[in-house]
Amino acid sequence: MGTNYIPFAVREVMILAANTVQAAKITSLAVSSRQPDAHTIWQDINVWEPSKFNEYSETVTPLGFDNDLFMRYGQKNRGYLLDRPIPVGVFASEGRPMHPTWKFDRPYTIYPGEALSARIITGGIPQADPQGSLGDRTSAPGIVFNCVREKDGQPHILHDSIQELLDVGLERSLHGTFLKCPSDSPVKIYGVSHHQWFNYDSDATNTQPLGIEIFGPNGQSWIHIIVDPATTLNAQHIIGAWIDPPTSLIGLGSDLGWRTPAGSPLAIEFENRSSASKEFVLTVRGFAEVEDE
Amino acid sequence: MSKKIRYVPRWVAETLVIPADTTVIASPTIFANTDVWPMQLHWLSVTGKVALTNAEEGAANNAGGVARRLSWEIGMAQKGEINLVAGGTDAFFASNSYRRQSYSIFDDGVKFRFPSEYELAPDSGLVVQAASKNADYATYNPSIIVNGIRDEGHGSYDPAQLAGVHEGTLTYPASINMESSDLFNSGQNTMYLKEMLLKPGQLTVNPVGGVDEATNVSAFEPTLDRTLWRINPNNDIPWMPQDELIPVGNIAPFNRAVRDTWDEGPRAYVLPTGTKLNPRQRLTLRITNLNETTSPDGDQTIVLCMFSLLEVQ
Repeated sequence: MGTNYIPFAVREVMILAANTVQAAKITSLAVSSRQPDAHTIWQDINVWEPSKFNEYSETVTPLGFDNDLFMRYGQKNRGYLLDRPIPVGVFASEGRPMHPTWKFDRPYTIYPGEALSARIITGGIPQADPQGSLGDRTSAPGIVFNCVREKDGQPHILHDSIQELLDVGLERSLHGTFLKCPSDSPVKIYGVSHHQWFNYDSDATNTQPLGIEIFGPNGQSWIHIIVDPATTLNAQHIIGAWIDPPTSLIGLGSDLGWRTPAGSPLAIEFENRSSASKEFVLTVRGFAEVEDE
Repeated sequence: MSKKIRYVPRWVAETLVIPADTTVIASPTIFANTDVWPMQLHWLSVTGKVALTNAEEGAANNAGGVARRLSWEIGMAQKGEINLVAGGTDAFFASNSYRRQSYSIFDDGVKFRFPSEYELAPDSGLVVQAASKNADYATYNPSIIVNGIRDEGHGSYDPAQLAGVHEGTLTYPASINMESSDLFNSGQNTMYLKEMLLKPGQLTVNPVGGVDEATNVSAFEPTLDRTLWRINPNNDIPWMPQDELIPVGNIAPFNRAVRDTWDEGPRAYVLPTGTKLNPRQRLTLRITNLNETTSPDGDQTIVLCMFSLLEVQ
């Protein structure tokens, strides 16, 4: 049946004390395979400081990335690519997307009889009394996978949504009929998106992302998480904002050599040069390259 | 036996003042192939500063826009008038850009993709200079990242990265040299450069006082025509052979400016694929400023830059 590319997002919620250096936990960035000579394709890295809410407006407080959070990365056992860490913002090479969409570097194929499912935790701004013009805070979340049918190349959509308005923080599962692969053809999935997309600028302190977790046909979650026990972030932050990165991305990709043996994890080192501790979310997205059995 | 061709990027630029209602010809000695190898032409880029009203002053000025009322004629020199193609700035120099979410360019800086990967020999590196021509602001931490792959032998390539960060403030009219140790391909293996990210640094100091920049803004501002770079390999055919540094918007024109609603970022005219300058051939560029406002108010200052690949054998 050929090669398949299983999407994954590995995430670590890190708390870095003032003036310390720490590497992300290698286990969170390892993708293993039972097949010999299997590979991992790394698509991008995202470093997000939720306390900043990435206020891309210039009249408020510091934007985007802190100047005193440094990093460097490389393959484990092959050393970091640079001899010293440099500011995180220096690496950013891809703008945050115009839509809450993750476009896959490589398509992921699902076959007749298989289905995807998801769970969501509504995001937004949890205020009892919405500010006048901003209106009602409840919303009806959903998910869409953009696909192409293998048999004739026609576009196909796998989708599901919740047909009720939900308050921020409420959880629902998505496992409807339309998340199943059609019975007449495998479909190749080229991207995933959801329509809840929050402008963090509008209320920097309170906005919460849409929490989302996607499960493959075998029940395996696409997002793998290691969370610092001392985190102050809530569930939406911990599983949110990985389809819709809230800041610019650090592009990897096989073009830049980021197709590595599956047993060779990424290593990322951070240095906090500030006199205050920092809490941030590291997300690395990619694909496990496997041979379909 | 045919020899292997190596592609070496080449940027050449000239600053031109085009008075109102006047035609100017770009220096034929600059937009010429003075090397011994054929030169594959890729694009011409132009940055400048449009006349803005007071309300629009501020960050928009950093976008590197150019007046539309310029008429261009471009062609090979000594081939006769028939060869010249003519058009206005809008028609010719589309604002060819990847459009990005508002403000994300603050973080992204400017990205340049090498049309053909550049072969950086073992034990050699890049020499990088940066300067600001923005008298109003200073920036902190200008930086360069070069991404590529390194030949590890046995047909395997690993990711590789070069970086330079100036850990200090860049103030007009100073220029700095990036520390070279991290811009060096140490070891025994060839590195192939794929992309370059140029960031002027975080805008931190505002000695003059602007509209939006009254507060110290911590952002990677592109300032597309106000930060200048000169990047050369330390032991190969130079990329930027001129003494002058080149505005970042001219080096990598396919990036939209911050305030794209107020101004146009750098513009680029992509030459037809296959256009070449043979040794000793040159381009003719004739630019007419159609602005009828009396000089000097109607004058337009531009930086014109030609990007090509030298086919080195």
